[in-house]
Amino acid sequence: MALEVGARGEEAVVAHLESCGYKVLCRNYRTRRGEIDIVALDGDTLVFLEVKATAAGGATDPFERVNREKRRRIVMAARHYLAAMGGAGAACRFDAAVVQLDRENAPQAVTIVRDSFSLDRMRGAF
Amino acid sequence: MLSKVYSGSVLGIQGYIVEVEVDVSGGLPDFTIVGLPDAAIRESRERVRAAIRNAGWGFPARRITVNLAPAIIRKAGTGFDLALAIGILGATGLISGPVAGFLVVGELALDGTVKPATGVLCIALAAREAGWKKIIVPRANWQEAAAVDGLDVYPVKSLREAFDVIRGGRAGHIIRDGMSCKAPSCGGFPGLESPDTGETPADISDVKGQVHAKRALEIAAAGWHSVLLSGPPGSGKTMLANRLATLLPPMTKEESIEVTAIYSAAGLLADGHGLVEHRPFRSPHHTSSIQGMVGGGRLLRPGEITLAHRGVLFLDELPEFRRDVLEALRQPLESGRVILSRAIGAVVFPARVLLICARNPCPCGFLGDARRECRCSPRAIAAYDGRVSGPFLDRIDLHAEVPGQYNGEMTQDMASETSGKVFKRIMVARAVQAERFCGEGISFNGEMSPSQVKKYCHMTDGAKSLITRALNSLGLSARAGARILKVSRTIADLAGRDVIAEEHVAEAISYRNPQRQIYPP
Repeated sequence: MALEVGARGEEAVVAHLESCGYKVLCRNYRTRRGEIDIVALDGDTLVFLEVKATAAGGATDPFERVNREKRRRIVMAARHYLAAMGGAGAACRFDAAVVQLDRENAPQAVTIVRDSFSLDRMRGAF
Repeated sequence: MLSKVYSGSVLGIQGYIVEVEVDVSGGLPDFTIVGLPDAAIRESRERVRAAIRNAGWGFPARRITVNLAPAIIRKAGTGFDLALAIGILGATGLISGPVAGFLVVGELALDGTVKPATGVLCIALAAREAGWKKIIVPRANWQEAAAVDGLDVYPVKSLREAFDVIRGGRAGHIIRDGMSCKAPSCGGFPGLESPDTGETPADISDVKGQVHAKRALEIAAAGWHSVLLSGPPGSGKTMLANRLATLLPPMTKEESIEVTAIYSAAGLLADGHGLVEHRPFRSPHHTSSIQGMVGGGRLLRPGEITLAHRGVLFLDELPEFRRDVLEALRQPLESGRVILSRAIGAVVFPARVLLICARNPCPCGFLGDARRECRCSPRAIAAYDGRVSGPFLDRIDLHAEVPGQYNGEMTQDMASETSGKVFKRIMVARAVQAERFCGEGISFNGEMSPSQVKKYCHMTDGAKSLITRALNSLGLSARAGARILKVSRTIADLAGRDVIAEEHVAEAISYRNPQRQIYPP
């Protein structure tokens, strides 16, 4: 059930990104040290997206769940991706996507938060 | 892309130019600052990020590397914020063309407004020295920068304004050579009981009687000689010392810039404050530490003796000061400057102060008093005397007694001289000295070097033999002899005489009182 909700959420984000002109390159990029939900291209900037779904009337802020450890895993996966694709010098960005769900867990709205964090706020995490 | 902006910082009170290099490149978004930044500068990343966003630009999601050169000096403070932001805008291509030619100083608030920075005057002085022509400063600090001739000052109140100035758009208002500087009136000077702010201005005539002590203050103010006032409690020592400020000649513009630079670097200048016009008057508490008095600390801040530069340093209750603190003052008092050597380098603080000290003659305060009996044991008196070392007292030119005043004298002497009258005599003596020391690099008799003493202290034969006899019979040191000569020079100047006569030397000797000779045994 939870997995299915997540997949439907991601589906909604991909649709939203494509309508905004992003080119989705990869979904669920997984490595031993971390994972990224969506990798997309916004113009010439490589965007690493973390998708968070929030239930109707959910109390917690979805961004609270992108905590320090989660960010660390995203960065590790991003480094892996860049090394594997040979794109070390590319312009990159970490975005977050929030999917609002209704009572039947159907995606309602998608919000993209551009440049949600950068490495300098994570000193000591590596 | 790489961009370069120039900013400045302060080490001690000396400004220096800092090159801010900003590189914006691809890769995972990051923002690092290298070149020995302190914690406040590392925090500036957050201010710069928010300021750029809130001023209406996007903060680049790029890998940003900033280098502060010269990388060998540890940088402190928040004055680099504006330069950092301009550098980032330049490196992302928003400012086309060189941003060089401007020196940029200012702290940023999160909303993009520019807040006042410390040490703007010091940086402006260094900028002129290094051949800069244009400086962008926070609006609250423009008067400081405008005091430096030969610099175009661009006051800004926001990041957006600074951006426009550099891009050559709206130039705001430029202040050229301090021309539109309307000599800001100087109020609220820290630590100064300014004679014109009180409801009834302090005046030396407020103190009744005490002719001897007032004469000592007159000589001190005329020739920049140090004074020690000693007397029982309530005799007027503190009042007299506080009124010394009313007798001092005004500062020249150069002196004024020196003093303002010290207060600017120490962050003690009120916002919108121009040059300090009154001589400082510092009266540190007797519990002050060595660091508080001579300066130091991690950030190498100036101490009280430097904050009193070109003004008065008043040490009330002299024997209560810690002995090591007084000993630490000895060398700066002699050389007129403090040199502090630390791992990050040596700094020189100017410290040409007019020292005035006050003390009681004994622990109970009534030794030698006309009416009251001293209740101290000889041993207690000796211990009290011993708290201030001989070498320290040897550096004080004028030892003046301030005896207790009793009703009769106070009413009889109601018509005391006013500060204005004494000041006129002092200004005459001051003019004589100005002419004498033209081109010598000093302005007062009290600052003469041994060779200058030889050159300018011409004496009659009687005066010569008197001083020789005095040195022998009183057992005074060679330094004390030189100091007596300097004081004699000032007394002769006050009397309008070119050659020092016997009476001038005699008066000068009367102020050397290492053993209490005035008091009856």
